[in-house]
Amino acid sequence: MSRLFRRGELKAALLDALDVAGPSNGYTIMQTLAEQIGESWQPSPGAVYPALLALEDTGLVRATDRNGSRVYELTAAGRQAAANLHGTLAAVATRARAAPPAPPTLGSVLDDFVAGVAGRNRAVDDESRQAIAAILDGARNNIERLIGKET
Amino acid sequence: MDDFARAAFREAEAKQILRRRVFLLHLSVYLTTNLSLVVIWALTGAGYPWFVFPILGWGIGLVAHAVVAYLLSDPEEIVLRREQQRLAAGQDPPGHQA
Repeated sequence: MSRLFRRGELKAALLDALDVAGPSNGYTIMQTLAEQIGESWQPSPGAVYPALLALEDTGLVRATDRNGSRVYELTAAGRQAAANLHGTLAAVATRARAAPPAPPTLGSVLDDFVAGVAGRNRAVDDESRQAIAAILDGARNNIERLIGKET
Repeated sequence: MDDFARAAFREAEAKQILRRRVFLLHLSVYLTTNLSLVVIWALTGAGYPWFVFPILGWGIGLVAHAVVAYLLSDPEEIVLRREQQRLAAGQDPPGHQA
């Protein structure tokens, strides 16, 4: 997990997120956090779930089983704590936006290219396949030359 | 236990397995290197046993790594382990409503 959150901030941000989103399951809470903070932080159940359990232990959050999913909501004490800690999530989001984004890698550029190709699942005949292979071969040579110059 | 909890347990388990595999890799490098040093010492006249120093020095680091890999846990892992014990005992955490 990234070090974006300082000590205790994840729990405060979870209270903030639950205050905003209302009763929610783990994935929805994680999504709320991710939407508020942006792409520089990738939340994971391994980080969020223990923090929710800790909040449950301290009586700030209550969990209820609904349709096979555990739904978390703030208790009265949790609402009070959320009011006191209000703004933590916004502060973390501001910090995340101020952090320089990770530089793209060759792999990520290629992934973006592949994802952006229209008609990816369309079948191609032999002639088209050879033409595409020739274009890609040329592109690969150019890319390798470019990368070779940089390193 | 819902999907979210299962994903969290799987993630913690994967983290622990990775940590232990990295330690085992360290152990294999330690054994291979130090065995090579002993062989070199034996082939070069078996004089003063200098190979003991890297074995002991590096051994301290190896023991520290073993402690981190097998004995210490992140706070998140401690919370998850406690939850697993609770689930195994059929108890709910405080504040939980079925």
